[in-house]
Amino acid sequence: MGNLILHNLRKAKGQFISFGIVMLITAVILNTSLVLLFQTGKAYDSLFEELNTADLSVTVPSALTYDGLADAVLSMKGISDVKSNEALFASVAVQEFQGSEFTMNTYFYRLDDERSLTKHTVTDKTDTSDEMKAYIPLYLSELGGYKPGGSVRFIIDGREYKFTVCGVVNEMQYGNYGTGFVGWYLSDEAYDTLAEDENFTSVTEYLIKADDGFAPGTVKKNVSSLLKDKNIPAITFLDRETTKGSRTMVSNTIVLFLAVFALLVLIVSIFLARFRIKNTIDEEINEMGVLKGIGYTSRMLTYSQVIPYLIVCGAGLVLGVALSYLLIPVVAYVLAVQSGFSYDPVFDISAACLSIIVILAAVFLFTVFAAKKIKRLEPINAIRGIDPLKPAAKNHFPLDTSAGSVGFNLILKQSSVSMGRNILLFAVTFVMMILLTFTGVLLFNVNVRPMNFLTTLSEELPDIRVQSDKEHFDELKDILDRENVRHVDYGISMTEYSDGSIPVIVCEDFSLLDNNIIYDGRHPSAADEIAVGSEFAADYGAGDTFRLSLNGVDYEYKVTGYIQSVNNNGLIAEITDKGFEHLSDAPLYTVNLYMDGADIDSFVRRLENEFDEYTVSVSNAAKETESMQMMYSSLITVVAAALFIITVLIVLLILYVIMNSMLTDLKTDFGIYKAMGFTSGQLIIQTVGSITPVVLLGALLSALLGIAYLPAMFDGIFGVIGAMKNNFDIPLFMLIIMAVILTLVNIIIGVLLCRPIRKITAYSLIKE
Amino acid sequence: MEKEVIISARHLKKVFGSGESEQVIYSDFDIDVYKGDFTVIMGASGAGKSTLMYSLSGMDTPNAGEIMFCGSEITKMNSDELAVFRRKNCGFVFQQIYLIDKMNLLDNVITAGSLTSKNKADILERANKLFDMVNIPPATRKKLPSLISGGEAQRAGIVRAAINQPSAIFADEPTGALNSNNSDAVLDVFSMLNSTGQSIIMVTHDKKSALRGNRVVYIKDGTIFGDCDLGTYTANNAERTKKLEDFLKEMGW
Repeated sequence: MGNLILHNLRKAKGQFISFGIVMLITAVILNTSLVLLFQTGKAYDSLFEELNTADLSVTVPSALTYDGLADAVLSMKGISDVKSNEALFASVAVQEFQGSEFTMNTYFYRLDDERSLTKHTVTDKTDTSDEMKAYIPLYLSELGGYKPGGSVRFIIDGREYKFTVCGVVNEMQYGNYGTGFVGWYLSDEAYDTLAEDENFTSVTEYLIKADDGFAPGTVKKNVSSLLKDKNIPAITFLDRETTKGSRTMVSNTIVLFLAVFALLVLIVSIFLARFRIKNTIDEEINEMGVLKGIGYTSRMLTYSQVIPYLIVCGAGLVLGVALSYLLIPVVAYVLAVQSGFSYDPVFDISAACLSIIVILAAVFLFTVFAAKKIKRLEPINAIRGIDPLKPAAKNHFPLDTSAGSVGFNLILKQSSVSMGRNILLFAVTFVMMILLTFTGVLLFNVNVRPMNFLTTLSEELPDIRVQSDKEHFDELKDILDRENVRHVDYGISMTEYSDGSIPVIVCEDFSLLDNNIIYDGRHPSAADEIAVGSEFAADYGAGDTFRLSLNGVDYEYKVTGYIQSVNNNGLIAEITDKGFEHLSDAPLYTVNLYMDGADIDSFVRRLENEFDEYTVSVSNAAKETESMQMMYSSLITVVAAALFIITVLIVLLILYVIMNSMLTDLKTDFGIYKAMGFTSGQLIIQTVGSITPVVLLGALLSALLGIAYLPAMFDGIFGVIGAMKNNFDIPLFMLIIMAVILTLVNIIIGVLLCRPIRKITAYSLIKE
Repeated sequence: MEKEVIISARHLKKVFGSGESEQVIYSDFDIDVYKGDFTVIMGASGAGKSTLMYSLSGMDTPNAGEIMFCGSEITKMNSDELAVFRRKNCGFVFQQIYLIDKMNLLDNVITAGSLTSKNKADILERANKLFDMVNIPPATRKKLPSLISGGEAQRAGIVRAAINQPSAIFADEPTGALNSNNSDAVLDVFSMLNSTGQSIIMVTHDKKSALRGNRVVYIKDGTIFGDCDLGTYTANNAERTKKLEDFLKEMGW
């Protein structure tokens, strides 16, 4: 049987190579996603332990705490250690974050403070004579573009602070903005400079370590009760699981997307193997009859067909798994930048086994199933080319009665010959179209209609944001009215709720805003109403009360709806300005400006020069939006381009197998056609034309169904990162154009793969 | 009256293989084929009969020499030009018949007919006339090749070859795979077509088939070893039969 296996392998080596490459691609993507899926969480936990990170981190304003709080927490059941650190807290506008301004809630620590809990490491250390030294997380350094040795600036209340980046900090708490807070570590000089600015709140961070096996939920509840009793509001109240979830959410979404992509490719590959085996049996039925006649058993013949697939599949998978280790560090680095901690992925035996064994088992099962027909072949019938299971051939599209030209009907005839081929083509096109439409619609909403994408990720996108003060706020608004500039009082204030702090959007009238962030219910309109973020949706029903506090003042609001917020992971709320008066008698004095097509830059200049005395700070929000769009656009364009290339490669490889089978199957027919006087060009058109209706049908159907499945896909993916409702447009015309493009790509590849038809001569009929 | 030459081959050379394995099939070979003739090519196995016929029809390319076919030098044509030339000037009938097995007989014929005419009704009319002539009933015309007898299939093959009213029909041992009755029916069709002025060039090693021709060319050692004019075919003509037998005997057959 070994000879037979080798013979089968050699006979269709081009098709086996193609199948092997598809398997290799599958293994590369699947193993990459599995390794990262298995190791990222573990690496996080391992680093978490290594840096002895606290199970619960509570930060409170230093002015509101008291000396014995740490001891009081330590005396609680289930708590093994409590440490406290001093820090500064402020919401600062980081400048030139990818060319834009990014306002971030930031904790500032002294780098040299002794720490036994929630320790950190510093990499890429550089020295400088500058006293303003900052050690920032990888997330800021890589995403923001602040490399060690360079500088980073932020503005707070109109005052600018500039630091030299002297290293990258690795820590497991505020390493990215997933929690809505980021941590900086400063030299003593830099820390003292900030401490002198009243805009920075002195805070005390309590780092709490729970006993092994003690439920973190209980610790959290007990500490929360203690703070409530003592009337101490928390700015942050982060437990280990919440932090881990927040920080790894984006990277997990990317990894899951990769895994789904790999599985789709796998499904297509299995269809391919099944098609090839069925086709081989049809092509070689006489040979199999002869082999059965001379004593080969059905089992031997079945395995002689299946084993070559397993050999090629196995080789492709092993090579793919090996090659994936070239890709894994690259993807891991991208994920590290997103999640704010890095690790070196290592060889993962369970991922490799899963990638290889599961796929091999699937290919084995499907190929054996496809080859079961061999068992039912009677030798003499097979020698005569009679396949009892094959449905009687039909003369589809009779040329004498069918409408249309003979050429057109010849195409339809050829198209209707093989149902197996048509099913494979349909399945491949349908699945590939899902990937293309997904990336295409994403690209469309990022590049052509960027506001759809940005409004999904953001709360509100005005053209200009202005901070004023008590004395000038009303005058400023009078000026804006005179200048016919649409404006809405809108600002964000950090407040506290039962489990920590949340940003609260305060607005005079939410109906005047452009955003669409309410995904259920409605915006608040009365002073006692509140809309809360998606994180609270499970615990607070419509009409429930939600307590906010600010500087020791509490108020209970009635929940009217739920809002989404990617930046804050659903930990956000919104109240009216009248509602804010329940918490503070000092309004925010911030206003959003909407230029409605007028020149934004020149009005920003006028605000800065002409109306300078009425403003504390002016920011060109439209420019920030543009930078943000460019940042996402380049990232998503690269991802989409990569997906498109992989998709075309897979289509190419699969079409190669299909066309090759067709050319083998139709070789005699082509000889006959050529003897009649058909040219190679006519036969190429006829052959490619015969696959086109199925490809077009698969692509169009997938495109049309895309109207239904794409919103579900986007909801699923963006829902994971907190955008429960996306504002994406899914234009039908675009989906149809993509279906046409995929069909054209198929046609072009088909024409290229049909070139061997030129070498088939009428004379080869006789020679054979 | 002098016969009109439709195919004129000069200095033809055909070689298979190269180097030590080179096999010269014919060299410096000349032949004229005349319009309206039923030319039969005979010779021993491996003499190059079929190779010669396929060279003359433009299906195969000789290594050297020149072939003029209806005034066109086909040896200078590329494969696409040859394909266009074939569809107008050549019809082929093969021993293995080679009907397209996924099409019924009528569609096989229409497929060939569509190459020279876009008028489907016209093609159908011609096809049905030819099917009537070869005695294939309408119901059989709608059957797939796998569901009919070899004789019927070969007659359908002849209809396909004749549908475009080619300058010449080339037949390569058309009765080689048929029983006696079917052979006779197929040969009758050839004779019938030839009687309408259709030029036919047929390769055979069968004496009975050769009798249908008016000219028998015998190939040996890469040259025309003998050329016999049998005169117009008439059934049961003992004189023609004797002439052919004597000729073949002389050729060492």
